[in-house]
Amino acid sequence: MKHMKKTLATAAVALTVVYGGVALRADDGKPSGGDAVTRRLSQEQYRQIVSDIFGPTIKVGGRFEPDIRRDGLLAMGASQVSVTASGLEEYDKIARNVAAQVVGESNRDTLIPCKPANAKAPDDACASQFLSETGRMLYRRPLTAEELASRVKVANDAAVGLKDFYSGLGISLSTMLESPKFLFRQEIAETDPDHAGQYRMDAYSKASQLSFFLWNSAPDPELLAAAQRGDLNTDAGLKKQVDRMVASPRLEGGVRAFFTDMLGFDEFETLAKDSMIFPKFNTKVAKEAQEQTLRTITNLLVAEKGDYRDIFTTRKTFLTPMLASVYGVPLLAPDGGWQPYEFPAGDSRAGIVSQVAFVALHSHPGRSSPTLRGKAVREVLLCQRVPTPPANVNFTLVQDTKNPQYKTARARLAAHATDATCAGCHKIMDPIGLGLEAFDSGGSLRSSENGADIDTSGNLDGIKFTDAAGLAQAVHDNPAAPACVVSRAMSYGLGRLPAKSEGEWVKAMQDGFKQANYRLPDLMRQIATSPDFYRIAPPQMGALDNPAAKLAQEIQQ
Amino acid sequence: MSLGNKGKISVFRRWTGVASSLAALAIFGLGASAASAAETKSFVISYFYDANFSDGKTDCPNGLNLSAIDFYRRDLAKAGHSHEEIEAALKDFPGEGGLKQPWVPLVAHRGNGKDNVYAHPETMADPGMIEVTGHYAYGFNLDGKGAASPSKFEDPETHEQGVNNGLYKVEGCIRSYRGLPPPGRPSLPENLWDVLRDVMPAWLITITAPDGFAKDGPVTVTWDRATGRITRDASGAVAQQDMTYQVDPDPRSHNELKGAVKSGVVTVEPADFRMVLDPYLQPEIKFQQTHMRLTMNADGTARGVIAGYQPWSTVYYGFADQGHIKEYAGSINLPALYYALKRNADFDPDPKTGENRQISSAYMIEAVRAFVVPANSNKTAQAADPNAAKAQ
Repeated sequence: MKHMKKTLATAAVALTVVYGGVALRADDGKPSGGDAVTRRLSQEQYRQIVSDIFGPTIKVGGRFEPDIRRDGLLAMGASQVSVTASGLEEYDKIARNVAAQVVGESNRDTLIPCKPANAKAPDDACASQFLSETGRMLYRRPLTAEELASRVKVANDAAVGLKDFYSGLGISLSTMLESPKFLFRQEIAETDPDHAGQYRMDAYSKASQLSFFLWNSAPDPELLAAAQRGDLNTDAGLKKQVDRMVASPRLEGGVRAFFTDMLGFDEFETLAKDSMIFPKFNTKVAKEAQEQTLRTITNLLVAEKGDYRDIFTTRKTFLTPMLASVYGVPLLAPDGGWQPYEFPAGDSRAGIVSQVAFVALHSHPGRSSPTLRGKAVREVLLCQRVPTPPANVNFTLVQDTKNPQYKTARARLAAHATDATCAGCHKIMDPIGLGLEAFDSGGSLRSSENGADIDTSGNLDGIKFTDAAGLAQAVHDNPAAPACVVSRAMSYGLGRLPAKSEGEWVKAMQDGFKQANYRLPDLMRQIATSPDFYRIAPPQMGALDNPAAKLAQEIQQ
Repeated sequence: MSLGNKGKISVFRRWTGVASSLAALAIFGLGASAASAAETKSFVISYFYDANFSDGKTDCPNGLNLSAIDFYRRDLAKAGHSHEEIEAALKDFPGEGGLKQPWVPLVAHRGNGKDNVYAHPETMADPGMIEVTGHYAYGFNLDGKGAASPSKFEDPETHEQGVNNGLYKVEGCIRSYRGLPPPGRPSLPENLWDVLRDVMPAWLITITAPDGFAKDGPVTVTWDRATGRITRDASGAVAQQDMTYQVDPDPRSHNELKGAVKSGVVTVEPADFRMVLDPYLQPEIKFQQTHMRLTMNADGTARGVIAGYQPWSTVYYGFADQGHIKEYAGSINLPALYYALKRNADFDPDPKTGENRQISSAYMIEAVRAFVVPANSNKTAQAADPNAAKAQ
């Protein structure tokens, strides 16, 4: 345990890559490929993998280490995090709990492929069979002979001590579930035989790259088998697997995970609204609002194979009775569940930007915020960076919603913008967000604030609009929108920003997306079948001396 | 662009236009041309409780009724139990209130010593009830006699004279039935409704004005039960506004009342009225000479009073079916209540005995805006009427 703490706490070092078992440190400015990364599994990935391997009846409870967002994505933050000592204790609890369920009486007959000769004694053959198969799924590669032997020994020793085969097996399983080999995705590089002097991921790393990108989970047995056969190192073999995965219903899970990350829905965990001001908004609404946006997106992009840009203008969505009450529309759902719903032409609700999730998430607890909303449109949807405000900004005017002189947010922001230090940034955010002022902080429609009519006119990069639907169309038509999702998807899959040397590849993906009529599955297919998606920058001289790289090597041992 | 009035109208029509299409077209069978002129507003009841005026000064000048432990001591002593016996039984009063508590069998048989006083309150002499003697009471002049009515109550809101509210007179000086400060919710009725509404079908009110609500005119008011329960808002106390409910096809709780709207206040013509309730509170509300007033507010809420004559025995057994629990939880002496209800009954004399069988009653209504879908519709609201959304 002590050794594991040391290893885990230092394992996820950014920009660390293992070249054929030798840890090196990558660098910028390579002729091709980017820095390799080591990524910690997200909570959702952990849960999904457990569900995939052991079934949905196995419950994963406990507190996971918090993720961090980098460059707009948690997926990139995952390469910047480690495991704290207290976090490791939580992983240990979670692992023990999962393992106990797997070997428990109600599940062992279906989840363990063999029976011990004596349930009160070790059975190395049966333990080996289970741990070998399960370990291959957890580690996303076959266990080495040493790894398997050590896990079987743990199971044996524990079974002897506890006089119970299944308890021993459970302890061994739990050590795998809290192993850095499971908790961290490492990219293993090998020389690329087709490109002298270049490196690529090995087949199992490719399988993981593919699977987490498209399905947000570990490779399935078929993909691991393809990796084992070497199929993923051929264009045809790779294409066959990508086509299979893109055609799978599991693609929706991958798309959901990507947009959950891109849209920053993790921030809902800390979102609070003043229930006295917004009595319709509660935790159930918050949860359903996220789901509404994700259903809108996946239905349009995956089920209907629609144009990505239409997520900003579509009026087709899904509602629950509770959400419908927030939108102020009738919805009868006998089971209380989801129903398809289409806002009529001319309605102010058009696209995901006018949905409750977006306007509520980018608002204050007690009031809307054209600034936050405009900032979100720029940063989240258009991938444009907005400077952070100076530390000494005086927000008094903006926050005083009861000032009779400035009844609306527009009026308050106009007064605030008379300060020259504020005006520069506000002018790139507020004209966008003001288009959403017909929606209060809780996401409900309104036409006035403090008795004054709300003006929803604004502009986005010179494109003027009069309401939220106009803003939606402006975002739809903005070339930065599809370029942004390409960039985000690539970063999401790579776990890093594309390197400067990968500029042509990025451009090719953007062009391909346009040629594919902005269909997201096609974009994901293009990325996943691209050799650059698996390319790793060559090692630098002296990288072996890098202490972080050395520690990463420990994970392999 | 400024949303201005356009925005306001949009929200308003979303409420009334949709409800108009769904409720008026489907429930009332109005034609499309009529629906275009008519407006409908629908509500789900958030709170429904005894309309008891309690200002803490004038309503109960003779004091309040005793709390349970005090009237138990008194009644048990009158029944012949020794002081030691009484105190021993009440030593851990009320405990967890279960039947194994030593005081429970004692008080439940405090009449003739063998019969249950809740089922047979007449086995016990009237222990007496302090009644309301104040000037104000919510409700209506149900008997139509105005100031000449035997009841001298005046409604504190409308100032109508001769308000008949015998139920308030009976229960208004019971501690848990005082609505402090006016128009407050009495604690026990509020609590009972709060529990009930999570398990009981919601109550719906739909008001249709053939000529719209912008001007005074006739309205039709329907009361129905829904097929589902209310949903609470983020405060946990009030029903979520703008939820959609479907009408229960059971005709027992379908009421259509003719009425009028004047300055935003809806009133109805006297009629019979029946809503299935729940035995936890009272099996049903069954009125004759029903009167109602409902103020519809701009924020989508509505508040008002419904009143009428109802069988006092129904009221009594609504209390009595939980026996000692209601007594100790609400400080309600049930035999005393029985006699007081009987004594204050003011309508529907029995042809044989001449005793009135019904008592005037009034209940407060608090409601929030809702969408109402007709009974037996198996479509979503939007699918049921594609024009509804377009009307927004």
